[in-house]
Amino acid sequence: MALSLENSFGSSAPSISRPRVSLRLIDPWLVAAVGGLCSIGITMVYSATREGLRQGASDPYLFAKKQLMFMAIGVVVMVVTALIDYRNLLDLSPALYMGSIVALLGVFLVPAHKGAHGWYAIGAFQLQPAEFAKIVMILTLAAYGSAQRNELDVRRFVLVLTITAIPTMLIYLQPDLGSALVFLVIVVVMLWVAGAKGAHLLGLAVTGIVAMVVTVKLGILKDYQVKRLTGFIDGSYNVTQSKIAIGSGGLSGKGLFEGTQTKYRFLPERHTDFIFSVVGEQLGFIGGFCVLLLFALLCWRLYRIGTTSSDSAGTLICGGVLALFLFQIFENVGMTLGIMPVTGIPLPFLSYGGSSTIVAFVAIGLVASVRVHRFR
Amino acid sequence: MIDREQRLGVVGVIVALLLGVLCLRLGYLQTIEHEQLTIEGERNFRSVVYVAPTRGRVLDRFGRVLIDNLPVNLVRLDPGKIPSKQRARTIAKLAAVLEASYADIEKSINDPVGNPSEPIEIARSVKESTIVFLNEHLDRYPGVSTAQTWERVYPNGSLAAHVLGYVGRITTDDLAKMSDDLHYQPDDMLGQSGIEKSFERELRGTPGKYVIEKDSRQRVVKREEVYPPTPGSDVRLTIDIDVQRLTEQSLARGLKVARLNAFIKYEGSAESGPIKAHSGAAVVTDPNTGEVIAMASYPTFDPRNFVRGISAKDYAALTAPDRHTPLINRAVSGRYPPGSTFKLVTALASLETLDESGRPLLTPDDVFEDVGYYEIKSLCDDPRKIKCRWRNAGSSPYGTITLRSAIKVSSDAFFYKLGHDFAKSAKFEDGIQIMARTLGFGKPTNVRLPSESSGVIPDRARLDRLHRQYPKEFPRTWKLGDTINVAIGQGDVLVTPLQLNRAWGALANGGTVLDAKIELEVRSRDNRSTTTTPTSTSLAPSTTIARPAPTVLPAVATAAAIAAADPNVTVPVSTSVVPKSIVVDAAESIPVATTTTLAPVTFQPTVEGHVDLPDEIRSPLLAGFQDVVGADGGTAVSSFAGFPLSEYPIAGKTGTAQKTKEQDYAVFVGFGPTTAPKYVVSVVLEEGGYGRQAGSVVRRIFEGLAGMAISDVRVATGTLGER
Repeated sequence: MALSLENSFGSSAPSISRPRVSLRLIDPWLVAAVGGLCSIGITMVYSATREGLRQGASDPYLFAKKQLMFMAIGVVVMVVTALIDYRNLLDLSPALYMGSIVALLGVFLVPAHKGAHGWYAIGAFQLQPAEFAKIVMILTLAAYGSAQRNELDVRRFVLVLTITAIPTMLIYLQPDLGSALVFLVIVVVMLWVAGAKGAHLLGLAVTGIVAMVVTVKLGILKDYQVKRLTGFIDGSYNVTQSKIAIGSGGLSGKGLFEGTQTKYRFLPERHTDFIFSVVGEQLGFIGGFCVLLLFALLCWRLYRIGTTSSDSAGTLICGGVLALFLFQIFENVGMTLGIMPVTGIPLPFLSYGGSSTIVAFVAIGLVASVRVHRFR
Repeated sequence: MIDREQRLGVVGVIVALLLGVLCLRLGYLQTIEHEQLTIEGERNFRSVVYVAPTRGRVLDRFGRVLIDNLPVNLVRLDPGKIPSKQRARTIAKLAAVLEASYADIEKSINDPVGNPSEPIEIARSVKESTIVFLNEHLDRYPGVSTAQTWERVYPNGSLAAHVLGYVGRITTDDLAKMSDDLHYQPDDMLGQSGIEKSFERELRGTPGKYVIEKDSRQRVVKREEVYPPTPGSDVRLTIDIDVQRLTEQSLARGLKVARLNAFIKYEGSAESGPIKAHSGAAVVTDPNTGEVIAMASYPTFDPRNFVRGISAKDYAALTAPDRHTPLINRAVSGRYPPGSTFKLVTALASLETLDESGRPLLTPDDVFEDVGYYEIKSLCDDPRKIKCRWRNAGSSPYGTITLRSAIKVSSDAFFYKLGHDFAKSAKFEDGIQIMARTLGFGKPTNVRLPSESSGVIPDRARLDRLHRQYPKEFPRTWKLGDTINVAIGQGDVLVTPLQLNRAWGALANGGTVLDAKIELEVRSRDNRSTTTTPTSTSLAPSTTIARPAPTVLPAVATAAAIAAADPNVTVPVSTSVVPKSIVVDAAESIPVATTTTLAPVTFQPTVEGHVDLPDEIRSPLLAGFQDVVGADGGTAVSSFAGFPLSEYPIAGKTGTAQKTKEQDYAVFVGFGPTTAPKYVVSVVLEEGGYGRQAGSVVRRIFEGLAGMAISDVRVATGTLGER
């Protein structure tokens, strides 16, 4: 049975032909990877939160239910995104770019929450514009990059850097160092795929390192920020507890819903940033390895779709999404394993959180759109 | 044209590499680091706690309770469980309920005492009704919990305080010193002195072991009993509450009476004036078994002051030398010059040491001309003008005397001569000291009480060694005069009152020197005796695990001595046996818990040694010591005036011991009834002036022991000739 839908953007983009798209064209491996990750994620969120909710005499499924709702919204948004021809979105990217800048500026008008600006409260939910800005950034860079036929010269390279620097700085000022780093990685990877010269990227890397050293030396980064970044080396409380959770899980784990690090709440941020530690404790190496395998499958599909896309824009979008996921996975899992600094970056599809979950689905939707619309 | 797909491929390789790194790290943590991290994880939530059991009681020989436990209610508070907004209000409400001040509770929170694994104790001895109220309204008092613990109670007040000792909360220093397998916890009570200290292990019992699991909010999630606490065993002492009270009262009374008298200054003594008699000790033992029936030390203290912890100021007062250190148990830790009571040793040594010709140095029939002093002619002729003449007290001449009369009047000259006989001989120069050690001086009595002193029996080897090691403190070596001084119990001879009981016990029982014993049995709460001393509920010695009995016991004249020869002594007590009725001051006697069923305890006294006491030696000595209290001219006749000696014959000896810069110490040791000795009583009054002052204390004690009315005998200072 073929579920056929009209391209809903068709009317607003008359220059583009109207191919009939079918959901059958959605990559089954990609669906399997995302589905698997989401199943594990929802279970882990429940497992990580039920004891605390029970003790607070709340519904133990509260967070799991909310996360399930986010995922449902995410799936809908993903399907919608997949059905939109990504090329139409590229055309919209200047407007989206401007919109995201406004949104990022706007959060500074909202009173700070826990010492940081980064949310719009909409009812019971908090909208994080930084999350959505990641998608906009990918689209903007894809739009700009695909317009270039050859290697990027210095002028274009600097122009791209300038375009991306504005939202990155705004996010850094929220302050959200982790998301700013995500932006940086997306930019570097997409510049590379778009055709930046190796020498330019090398120069950028050197400049970055020098800048970092200077900021630390000049004390621009606050003490706690430096400490957070270097905490994983000497072992902050969070990292120590995470390593205990994962290490004590052993090969096969302590069993689902078992494990004292989670149950007795020694593990901080169990359902968000340190969700992978819950996996490690309860499901052991087998569980942790499965999660990494699913991420590998996801990345492989992103790569395959990128290389089989009909145009540069598609490749660039896949490269951007790949960079987005790769950095989040490596940073988040690396943090729980004590080899990366603590930056508060969620693990896609596993960590509890509305904005990040929905944005992960949007990113997948973009890639799906690249695949669905590969035949022009 | 750029090959973007190829460039994406490069990204793909990086992805693969980074995911590989994560896998490796994950595997590393979960295999190689697994064990270590599991241990660290356990440390997060699991802890082992040891819960102190109820401490054992201390009973007297008839099972009457000397130390009991009183359950007390505690209110504890876990400040971490109070929501910060409600903190002040909760504490204020608590203060009102507990009838305490807000500041008190804040102080206990900020300066917590006790076991850190328990919430902070904020109130103790809380009324039952308050506890019930709190338990019913715990939801209104977040973080509050109630608990029960015990406190030591002393039904007889300060009676036998020095024997019993006291408990105090274990200090961090003590805790560090304790072996780990004893599992002491920071708020455990620890015996600090007396029986509480020496029987700490038995009284304490075995703490229960619990594994508790706490979550990151310190909430106890699980509590698992590994094994429950075993309550401490009861320790049944040899002490008889009635005799103890009698002894303490007699000692206190004797000191008070002594202070009514004047101390008359004489050559070589301290200032005259009222007798100070500020402190002393008295011990009653059974010469047949070594059991301590009563042990008193003055000044005394109230162990109740230690139950909740004692203030530094109060503690300082109890240890201050100018208040005569009330905490010290003088009966075992006091080191006193025995004075003339030591003449027993010199006499026995002289009677039993054979000279070159094979004759004893002294026979009971030898006569001596006492001119008031003993002089060594050869020394008087010495141009260096060294001491050559040793005087009797007051230089009183006693004329022609024998051993018996020399004991009666306490002629120093007679014993100086004996001392000189030893000093002259290179072969048996240490004869007196050897006899002293045979009788147990210079050695602990092995009574199970802390801080027992061994005393000092000085001799040439010791002084010469000390002189070599510490030439400043000991500026000279041994000389002839030292032996002469030892002969009358002076010259650095130091003994404890309990040692006096042991030595005189040997004379009483026919020659067996027995270790002192303070405990009859250690009974676990299920009534099985767990004492380390071989015991049996059976009266038949064959069923008793007995140590080898002394193979040769000297011929003994008394029934008591025959009892001592029996390796197993049975203390027959049961509910049907009512403790002897002893007349004591009714005002101070406190009702005592009822006697429990007690099985007779059989035990074998530990024999330290024995001394040959054939009748031809023992009889004249006994006659002399009986004359001391009963014959005209006896040094303690005034102490025993009116005492029915014909019904209850007593033998004893006064001692008036000199101490540099202090008034003379009064000492008396006696035993009775001489026909079948049941008790040895020794009394030392520090700066008590005259031996007979101590004698009057012994008299009172014997009156009580014999069931007579206790007279208020007051001996006067009299002449100086009596020692």
